[in-house]
Amino acid sequence: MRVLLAFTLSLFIVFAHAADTGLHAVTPYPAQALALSDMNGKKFDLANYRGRVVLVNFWATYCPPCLKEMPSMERLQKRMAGKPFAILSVNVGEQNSDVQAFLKQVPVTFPILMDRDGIRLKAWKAFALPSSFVVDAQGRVRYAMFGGTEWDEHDSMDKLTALLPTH
Amino acid sequence: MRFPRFGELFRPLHGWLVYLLVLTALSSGQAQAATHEQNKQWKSPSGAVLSYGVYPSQGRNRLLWMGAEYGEQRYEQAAAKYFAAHGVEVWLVDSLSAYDLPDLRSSRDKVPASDMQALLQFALQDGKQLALAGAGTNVIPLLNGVQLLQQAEQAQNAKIRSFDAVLIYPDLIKEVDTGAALHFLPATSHVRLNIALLQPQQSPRFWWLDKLKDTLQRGGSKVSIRVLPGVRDGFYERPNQSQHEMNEAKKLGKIMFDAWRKLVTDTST
Repeated sequence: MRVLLAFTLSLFIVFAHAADTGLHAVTPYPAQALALSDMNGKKFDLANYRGRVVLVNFWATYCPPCLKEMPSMERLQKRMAGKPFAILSVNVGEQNSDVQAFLKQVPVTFPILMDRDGIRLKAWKAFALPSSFVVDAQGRVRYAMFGGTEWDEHDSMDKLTALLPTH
Repeated sequence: MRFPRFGELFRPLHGWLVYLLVLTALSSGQAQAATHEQNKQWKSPSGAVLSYGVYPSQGRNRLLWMGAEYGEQRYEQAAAKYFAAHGVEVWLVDSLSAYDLPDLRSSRDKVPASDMQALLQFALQDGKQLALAGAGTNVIPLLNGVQLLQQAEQAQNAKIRSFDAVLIYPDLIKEVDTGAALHFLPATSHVRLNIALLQPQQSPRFWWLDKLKDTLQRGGSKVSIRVLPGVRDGFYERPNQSQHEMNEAKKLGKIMFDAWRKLVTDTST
């Protein structure tokens, strides 16, 4: 039990230690390209999401905080239904079988893109997992964070809603 | 009336026999462990008393190992025995408890570097060839000590000692600026080591190995990387190990020893 507690606490501290904990505003900059396929080969391109706010989330099945926040992303998507908002989650470096096994436990309806060789993770400078970026309707990164969060709680919801285009 | 068969005669004794066998096995195991490991203490210049386990060996090499990032030493102890059985003495050091520091990431940078420098000097005293080992954030106090030691040697115009070092999933990150930059702790680029870096593939750090390698090389270190597939950072310390991680944890001694031996071989050729 002591080992479990210490390990969990240490994982938390890993994420709490570094500077950019929490979803924080960044000086807006153009989002890197993100054109990837999902497990079925369907192609997704962030460039096609202009006019919508997009949550780009890099994750892996071996990362506990990634798994913890996934259900809240699903709830977020449901709460934002009908609004110009989308989630593109990007699995890093894993096989379809890894992700499929995970989806049996945590089913999600947003697209999961496969960044098999980590090239997009590197381009986006996602140094830890999970790492998330909020891209505004003009294709600029407005918020960033690493570590997990509850995406459907007020703080995150308010920030995302404020970015939604008004018409 | 028939005579009871042999098995029937001893059946009531079965439980006791098994109990006695298990007891014997356990006590002989403990006796063996006691002959292999010696618990020692060393008083540092700051007054803190560090505990360390010595796994003695007659060879000319000694491994100074900062152990147990999360308090789980089972596999490290087994690995230390493996080294000792192959002629390398191991000092498995608990660097945190001496300072009453909580088992947190931030604690590692609070271990006085001057104490670590003194510990290195103490481990060098009898002339054994010293190599270093550490995992995760426990690499931080080790490198801080090496930095101080090498800086002192440089200031005295003495020959700067380099060490072979086996670093497992080293966590030397100072700060993460998502989308912008990754900053490593100062010691990363201020030590000169001959490093075997063992990095689990199932880790975000795997993707940024080139950056860590560049930073280490900036200080003059030589770095060779071995990726450990199918395991996560902390694979031998995790409470939720996968079967594969458990299997790899059992091989920790061999994995580290092979990495160290390759360093020694590469240096001497």
